Amino acid sequence: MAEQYIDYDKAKEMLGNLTKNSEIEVFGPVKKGNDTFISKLNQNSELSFDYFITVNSIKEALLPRFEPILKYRINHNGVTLEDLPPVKPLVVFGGRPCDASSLPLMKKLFNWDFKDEFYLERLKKVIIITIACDEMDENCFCTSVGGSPRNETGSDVLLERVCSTGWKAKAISEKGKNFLKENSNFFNAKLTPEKGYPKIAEKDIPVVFDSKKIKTWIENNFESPLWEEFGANCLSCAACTFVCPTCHCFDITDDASMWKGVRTKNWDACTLPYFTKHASGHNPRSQSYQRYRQRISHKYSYYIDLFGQVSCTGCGRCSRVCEAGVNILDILKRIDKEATKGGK
Amino acid sequence: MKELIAKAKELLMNKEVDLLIGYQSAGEKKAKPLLIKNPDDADKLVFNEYCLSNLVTYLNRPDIKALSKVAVVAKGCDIRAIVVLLSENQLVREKIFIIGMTCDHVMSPDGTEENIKCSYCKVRNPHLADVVIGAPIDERISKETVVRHEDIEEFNKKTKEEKWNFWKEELSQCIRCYACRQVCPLCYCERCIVDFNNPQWIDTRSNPRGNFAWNIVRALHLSGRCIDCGECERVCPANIPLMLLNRSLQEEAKDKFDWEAGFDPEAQPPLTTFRKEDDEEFIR
Ligand code: SF4
Ligand code: SF4
Ligand code: SF4
Ligand code: SF4
Ligand code: SF4
Repeated sequence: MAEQYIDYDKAKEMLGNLTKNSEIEVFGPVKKGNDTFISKLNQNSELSFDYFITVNSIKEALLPRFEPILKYRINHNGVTLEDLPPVKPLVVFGGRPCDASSLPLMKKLFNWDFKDEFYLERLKKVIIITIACDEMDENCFCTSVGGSPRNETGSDVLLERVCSTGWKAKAISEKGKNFLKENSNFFNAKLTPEKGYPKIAEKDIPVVFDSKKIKTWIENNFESPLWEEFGANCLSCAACTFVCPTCHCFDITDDASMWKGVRTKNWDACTLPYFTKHASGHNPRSQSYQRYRQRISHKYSYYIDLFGQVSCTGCGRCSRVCEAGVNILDILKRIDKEATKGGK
Repeated sequence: MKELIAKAKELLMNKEVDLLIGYQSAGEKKAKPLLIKNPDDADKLVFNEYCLSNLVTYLNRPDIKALSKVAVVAKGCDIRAIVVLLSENQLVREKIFIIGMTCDHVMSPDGTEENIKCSYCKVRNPHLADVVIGAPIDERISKETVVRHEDIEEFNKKTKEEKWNFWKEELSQCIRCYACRQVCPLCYCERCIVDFNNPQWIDTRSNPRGNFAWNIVRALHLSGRCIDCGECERVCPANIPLMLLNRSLQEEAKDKFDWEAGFDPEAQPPLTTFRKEDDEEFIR
């Protein structure tokens, strides 16, 4: 097939069209204040394509903030389970390669000891249209964890900017190929590639740490006083984990009245003070630095033990959103330095 | 800055305090908190118009509360939080050392203009401190000025339905990360009402019902207490205009009780006092 291009106007038209179809869910970039967010689109959504990276990640689409997993009614004959709304096909437009590369990682987890049918069903039905990066900031470090600004992992379609108002499209998966075919009337923009695009290349984001060294250091230094330093500023919210494409913890709550109820899966986070509080009142991670240590250790050590991969895509979102100034890249670089120095 | 660093070194060197909480640079036009125990680290301290964080919130953190004495770098507006905490018996005055900074203004969170709160600030010169650092600064308005916010006036022109729709749209974006609560110097409950699960008072789902319940409860718990630092709005990763809510309640407290929180450590906050002569016309 000939090369396919799409510009801002056609992308708006296509997403607007898809949104009209109530049988699918469409997510795309929407501006709010000075920032852009991946949001569920409706007819009134104002799309915006001039952004460096969204505050939140595409996790929003695949692992919703809250999701009913069970509904029931009680009557004189007993309890009857009610049908849940079926998972609709999804289109997610405008994530970055560091968003999409989280999907294979998350799949491993949700396909592990218990098959999370909700996540897996969505993953089956989703079309991920990623826009390769054209900008970076001091928080980006995808190349240190095996990614790149043009990484294709997890995407169905990858768009690469060729000018200030449009992209060249590349199908990555079978799903992506079909999507491009079905929507070829939008991917037929006549664009002349301009000089200077793409603005950044892989070499602009140097590899700054060795994740293998970091894992070993974490294994040997659970009690290191450095953790206290790393987590010193942390105020124990969930901003960093909720915007993270790979954080996936959830909590189950029941909302019930006399005759009916719904059980819901809600986002939860290891950084929150109550996450590990026992019924006895004891909290094994009572201090904020201990919780932050968990966050880093899970991603850079425990996840590797379980699934053979670092569970961080280097997107830098957690650092950007933390107003207490906790910066994951600074911490990882420091650990790398310690590990090199100490030789363990 | 020199004076601040010297004072910090002195306090840490002489073991007058166990910990010092101040600001450090976080790159160009940015600052972030700095928590230090070692006098040598005091050289990292900075104070400039990008020092937005209200560091007083750290005084509530359990591990910091457990220390015998802590020094905190605070602007007048931050000190208002200390005043409220003292009047609510949350701090022991002798256990904190307040390094008050005179301050003309800080920048808005995006760094492009002067922070709104600075346009009507009444405490450019710290009103409660153990040491004041910086040259005295002319106050722009008197203590008696009644502050009114244009955005609230505008907002109040909306119909009930418009207001409802506005908040429904805004609050539907709340992801329930509780950053607003964690950063707030006056959200210190050991167990927040939203963390009670037996029974569950507040719906923890990030749906409109849960989000309305959460954000309204938080605003109400801060009414007559919120000292207008703006930290909740600054940290909100969903960019929700939380100060619209908080400032409305501040104006209410001023109108109904002639009350502004955080100025006078001796005064009793309206919601913690009972007076026989209160007319209580709202109870029927
Ligand atoms: S690191 Fe920052 S964003 Fe994460 S929990 Fe701590 S204060 Fe919140
Ligand atoms: S830990 Fe931070 S940098 Fe890594 S994937 Fe999560 S948000 Fe991105
Ligand atoms: S334990 Fe924490 S870091 Fe790990 S996935 Fe859960 S929320 Fe994220
Ligand atoms: S509610 Fe917001 S503005 Fe008021 S004291 Fe708390 S953080 Fe500051
Ligand atoms: S900081 Fe914002 S998104 Fe987070 S809980 Fe508060 S209002 Fe909601």
